[in-house]
Amino acid sequence: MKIEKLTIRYDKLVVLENINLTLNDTGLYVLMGNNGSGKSSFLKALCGLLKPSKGAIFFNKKPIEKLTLLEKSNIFAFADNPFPLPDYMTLTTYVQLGLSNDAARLGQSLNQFDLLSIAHQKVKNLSNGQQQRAMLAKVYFQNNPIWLLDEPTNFLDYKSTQFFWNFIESQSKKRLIICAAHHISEPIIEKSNCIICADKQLLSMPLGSTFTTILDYLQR
Amino acid sequence: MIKKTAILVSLLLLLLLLNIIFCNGVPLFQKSAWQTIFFQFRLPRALTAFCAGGVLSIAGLLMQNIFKNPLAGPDILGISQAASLAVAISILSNFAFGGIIIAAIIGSCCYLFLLILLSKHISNSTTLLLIGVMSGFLFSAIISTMQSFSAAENIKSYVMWGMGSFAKNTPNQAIIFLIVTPLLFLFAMFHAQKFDLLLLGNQKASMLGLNVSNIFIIAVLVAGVATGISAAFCGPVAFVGLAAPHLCKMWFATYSHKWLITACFFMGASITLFADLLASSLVSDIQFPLNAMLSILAAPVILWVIIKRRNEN
Repeated sequence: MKIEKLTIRYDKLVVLENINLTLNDTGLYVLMGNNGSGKSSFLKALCGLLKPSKGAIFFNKKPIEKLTLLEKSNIFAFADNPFPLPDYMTLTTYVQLGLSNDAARLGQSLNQFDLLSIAHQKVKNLSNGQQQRAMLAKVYFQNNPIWLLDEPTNFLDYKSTQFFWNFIESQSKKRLIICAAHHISEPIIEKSNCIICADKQLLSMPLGSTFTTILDYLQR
Repeated sequence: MIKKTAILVSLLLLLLLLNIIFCNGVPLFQKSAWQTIFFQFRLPRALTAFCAGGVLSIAGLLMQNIFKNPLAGPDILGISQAASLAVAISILSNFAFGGIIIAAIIGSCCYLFLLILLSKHISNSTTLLLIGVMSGFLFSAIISTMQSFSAAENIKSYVMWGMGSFAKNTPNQAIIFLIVTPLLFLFAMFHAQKFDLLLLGNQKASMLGLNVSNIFIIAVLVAGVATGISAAFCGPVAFVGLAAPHLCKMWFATYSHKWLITACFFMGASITLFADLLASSLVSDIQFPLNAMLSILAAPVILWVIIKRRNEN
């Protein structure tokens, strides 16, 4: 993906200004930054949910606003939070809704996130963490080449969080994953491409930057 | 689910039969010339009630879905107010352009056309809701202004129209309604899965490939035609479109719009048939206003649903 001269503005509030960035086809990018620094806006702009004020974003040299809804739905999986959750819908149906009928992969997706035992519960009755995992299972089931995850570890317990980061790291070998997060395990930070959102800019950190270096940047 | 639908359909058929036989409090077969009464009055009346209840309930279901608001109903887009305005102009100003039915159809079609043009550019349901509610206020304001300058007998006939009735239609009009109704039902059923997807929220649905503006247009079209044609043939029939979806969602306990649309259709039709039966035969020779009867029937139901929901949460 290629981002050219991207500017995002809400009325007079400039969030990101004149961003130029190229992202590899696979790999894990971790977006870090303080509240309001433009992480979520950037993710939304990447998949076309937010129209940039200026600039353009290209996927395979094609501007994303030229992609049809169907094409977009086969390229991007976007996940911020699982709400709203429909009444009376089981977790299995929630994961599967709007996607394929691949039963084997559905089972695998539920299993990955340890959801098989509650697969037939109403998704509305589950805890926030379980709902969050259901949403991530949906992302995995969709099997798209690009994942855009906005704070995916919200509500996850310690074990699930550890599992999640290992899972994301292994998945990033075959797809592009861009993940906005505040709480990331240190080994993952050192192994992934870190991008810091600050002062309306995106700053790519050199690979292997330590957590301390990044904290330094964030606390400036 | 099949069993529940079967129960609903049997209930509907029973009410249809009861309505035809006992409407006006006098059993059909005690009348002389009962064939004429059956074909000219009872059957058209029962079929109009059936169609109006069915399509309005589907419309209510779709409105509650796209606005994500359990208080939304088919009249929330301002369409029945637009029909009322056209009827008011026709009755109150003596500017007759082809009678009440034509006026209501023209009024609702013009407004519906405008609404669809607008909703092509709206991907935000709150904006659509505001446009509907504001236009409704505007139309009602124009109507009450007109009423204050109108002759008393004109006002009375307008108010009578506003009370709603299934009894005023000729067999031909009932046939028109009977043709439109299955078309609307099938149209809604054809798009049922898209409404399931919309339950995940507009943003998520669009990331799964659903064109949210298109689904708004589909919902506006169904609700518009349903409200417009009901207002034209029966007056502004209220409340059934709000009550039936709630009953169906609770009883069927499903998210699936394929089932909900079917259930709402039969449930709504049963409610209007029952209300009409009560309105016409509770006291013989007296017709209670239909809308009042519907609200008396439906309001406690809505209250019960809301209170039950509260307790569950």
